Amino acid sequence: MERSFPRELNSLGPLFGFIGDFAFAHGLDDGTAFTVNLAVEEVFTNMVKYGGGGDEVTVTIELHGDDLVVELVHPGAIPFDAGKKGKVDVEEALAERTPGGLGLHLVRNVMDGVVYTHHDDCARITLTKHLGGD
Amino acid sequence: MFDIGRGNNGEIRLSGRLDASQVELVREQLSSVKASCVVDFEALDYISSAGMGVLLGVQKRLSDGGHSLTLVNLNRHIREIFRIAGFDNVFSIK
Repeated sequence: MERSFPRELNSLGPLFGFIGDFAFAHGLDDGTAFTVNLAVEEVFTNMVKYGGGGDEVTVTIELHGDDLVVELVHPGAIPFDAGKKGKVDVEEALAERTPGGLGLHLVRNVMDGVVYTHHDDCARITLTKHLGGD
Repeated sequence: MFDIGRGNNGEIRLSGRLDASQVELVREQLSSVKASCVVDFEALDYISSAGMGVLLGVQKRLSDGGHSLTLVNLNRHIREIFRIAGFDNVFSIK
């Protein structure tokens, strides 16, 4: 399934609906649907807030064997160093904690694969969730 | 659909889906909290880092005056992401 969404926070409702339709059609359990919603929201929201560039993000969601693969493509996006984002010290005391980086920290922990590429002025983030027993 | 309100015992009740598009509403509502308070998640289906960041900010503000939020009735999915975020270390979660 593939669909393009305006690059704005108001797209989150339709985006969740798109994921929900896929989850229903493929019988995904509640936990998987929750984590995919979360990961896609975090990535999409980053594209809205910090990505610059084009007005739309195209989201593709597919099953490849036992792997659920979601790809978000943002033409015209500003490159960023994904490796330096989302480093959160969860042991830090309350006074030291900030919300910065928490979204990508969650994405890295709830998904089995997170790959960021930027080619030809286009950002592409591929999220993978293994649906098998292990 | 997300909503926030007060329960019969003064607790804050969250319901529905708290995503990044709803975060200003919850930020505004929680800005009036000045003392220790229970936040009831029983009817909350979903939360992302945007809402979690607001809760973290409120907890930091309250802690300056010796107060805190207590989070109750989290569903297992929300409980798990709060664990991943290390919120066990900064909130009382029951």
